[in-house]
Amino acid sequence: MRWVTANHKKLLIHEKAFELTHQPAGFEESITSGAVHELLFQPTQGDILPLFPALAAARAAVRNSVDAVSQSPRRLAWVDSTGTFYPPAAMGCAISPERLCILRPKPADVVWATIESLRCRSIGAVVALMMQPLTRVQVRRLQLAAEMGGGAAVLIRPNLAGAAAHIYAAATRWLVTPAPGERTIQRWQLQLVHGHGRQIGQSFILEKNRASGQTHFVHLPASLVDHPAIQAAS
Amino acid sequence: MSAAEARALCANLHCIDEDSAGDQRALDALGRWLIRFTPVVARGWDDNNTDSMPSVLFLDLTGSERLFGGIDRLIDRVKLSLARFGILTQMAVAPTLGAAWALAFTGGVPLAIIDSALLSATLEKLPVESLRLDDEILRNLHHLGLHRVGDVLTLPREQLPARFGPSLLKRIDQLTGVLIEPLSKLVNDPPITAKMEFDAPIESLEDIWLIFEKLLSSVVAELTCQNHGVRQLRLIFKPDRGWGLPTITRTIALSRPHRDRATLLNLIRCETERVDCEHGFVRFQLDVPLHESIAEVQTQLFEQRAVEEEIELDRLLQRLRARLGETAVIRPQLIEAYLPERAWRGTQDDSQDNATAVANAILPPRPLTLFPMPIEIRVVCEPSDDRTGDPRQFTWMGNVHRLMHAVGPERIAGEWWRGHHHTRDYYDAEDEAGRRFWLFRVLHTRGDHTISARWFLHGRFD
Repeated sequence: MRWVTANHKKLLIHEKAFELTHQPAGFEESITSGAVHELLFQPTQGDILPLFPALAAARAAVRNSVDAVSQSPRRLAWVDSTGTFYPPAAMGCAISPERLCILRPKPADVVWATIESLRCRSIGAVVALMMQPLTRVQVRRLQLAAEMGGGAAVLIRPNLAGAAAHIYAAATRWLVTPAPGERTIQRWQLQLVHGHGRQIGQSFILEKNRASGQTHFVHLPASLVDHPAIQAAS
Repeated sequence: MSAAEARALCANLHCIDEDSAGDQRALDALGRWLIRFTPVVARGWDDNNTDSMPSVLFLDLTGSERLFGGIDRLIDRVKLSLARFGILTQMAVAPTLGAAWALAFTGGVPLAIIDSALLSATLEKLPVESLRLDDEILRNLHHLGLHRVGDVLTLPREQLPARFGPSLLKRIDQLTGVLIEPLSKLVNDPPITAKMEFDAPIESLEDIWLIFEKLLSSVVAELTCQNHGVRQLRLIFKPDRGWGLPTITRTIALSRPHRDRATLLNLIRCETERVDCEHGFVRFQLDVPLHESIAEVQTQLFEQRAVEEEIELDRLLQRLRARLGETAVIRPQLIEAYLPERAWRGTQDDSQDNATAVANAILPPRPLTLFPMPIEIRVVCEPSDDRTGDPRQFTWMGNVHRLMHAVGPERIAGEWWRGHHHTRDYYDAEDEAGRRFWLFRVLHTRGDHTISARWFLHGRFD
């Protein structure tokens, strides 16, 4: 499994030429531990959820949180209130079954289960689908729980319009849309909607190779960024 | 003889159904009652099969006869008290377990004590049935004219296993005391429980928590004496009789024994949060139906943090199970099966070693969302004589998806031994927006001809 940042070489040259102090961080580096990260999806496009990008984010968070002494990676909790999560697919993406913990709460208990799991220090990442709008208290609790436990929360939320869209306490928010792929490559476009110290509106392409199960990560040139999508999000 | 035949012979026959669980409970209760005569009371079995119902009680009288003024008096007391209960028993006292069983089984003779010297002489006269053997071996012995234990003992010892199997020699040795037979001691555990009753109903949840905190401290004190930890907690709430409401019982199961008050209280809080306290309760009871000894934890110098995290995870899982339910917290376990819906199952086992060999196998691409039941859809395919063309377009929930790529087919044959006869051809298909679906086709054939093809949507590569 390897994460490739395309244009990496170009970026380095660019950095040298203009002596940039700030290097745009990739998706993997953005998923920091002890924080909440949100992946937004467009509810108008059917109920296509960004599960694989969430899994990639959680996997990165778990890998970042490997204990220095025991060398054992932490666990990944998947809050699956719909009951349709299929673990063998996660096994194909290098998540070992004994490190995976599946929770199936009722919709009313999803936030509670997420907060409880986040507080635990042996959980490296929690992936949860939050279909209901969250209150300010809930988002703050999620953030505090992530800080306390040291794991990352990857929340999958609908990209709603109106006041509810501005209630979040996430370190990064990404708008995820499926992108046309190839025969054996599935693609998603990830657009940074919110993130401290990063360029808002940055777009990335996440590629998954169907045959090898490998994940590639491509930095999209600014000219190809889908501007209407940013406006819709903000 | 069947019950119907018996009724035909005797019209006013009163039939009682067999209640083996009840019998066993009664035997256990009697065994615990007999602990007053000796501290070691054990259950025994008639045959080698320890899964069957125990039918014998063994009392180890070693040393306790002095307390009752001699072994004769002790036997009389046991006999008298059992007779007072109206229990018909066959009793015998012998130096070995096997001999006691054999003498009690043959009965008849007024048997009390047998000296070690007298033992062999008495045993030789007993029938071979007193050796606790299988029917088949007994039949063989009788067939060979060996009807008494003495007859078997005269045979050359080394030839017995080859002729009758290993159990005969074992039983003979147990009878004569060469082989020591272990006793599984029946322990008398008084139930650990605490309760509180009030005149007026208690309605506030905070007060209920305070009550349970008190009950818990008395339960924990009792557990500390035994060095035991809770494996299961039962909370019982009894409402005021006037309301006519049912008693509420909640059970908390723990994956490892715990005695920590704060942890247990936290679990009780999670469990009681959902209890409807509108009319209040007058009686609260905290039971510990299951408890076991706590192993002392050795502090590790280097892996202290890993151990702590493991304990923390355990507590988290217990908290989640207490509130969400037992089945809502699962660990995936892969199963070697071809049908995708049968390729995994959720276990509630928290142990680390359930990782299967299948986990190392390279899995074909599978979707992250799999519907519990495949959904039948309408698909437009490429024209083909045998209806095996690739899908080009499908309609699902009123939306038309035009497919740009379709990778497949991946053929998965049905598990015919389970009644799944249909072979599925799976396609990984992507529509023009980049959404990927997992479709499959089932062909209905007659002879070599395909009659129809049905399409199903089974999952999404979300």
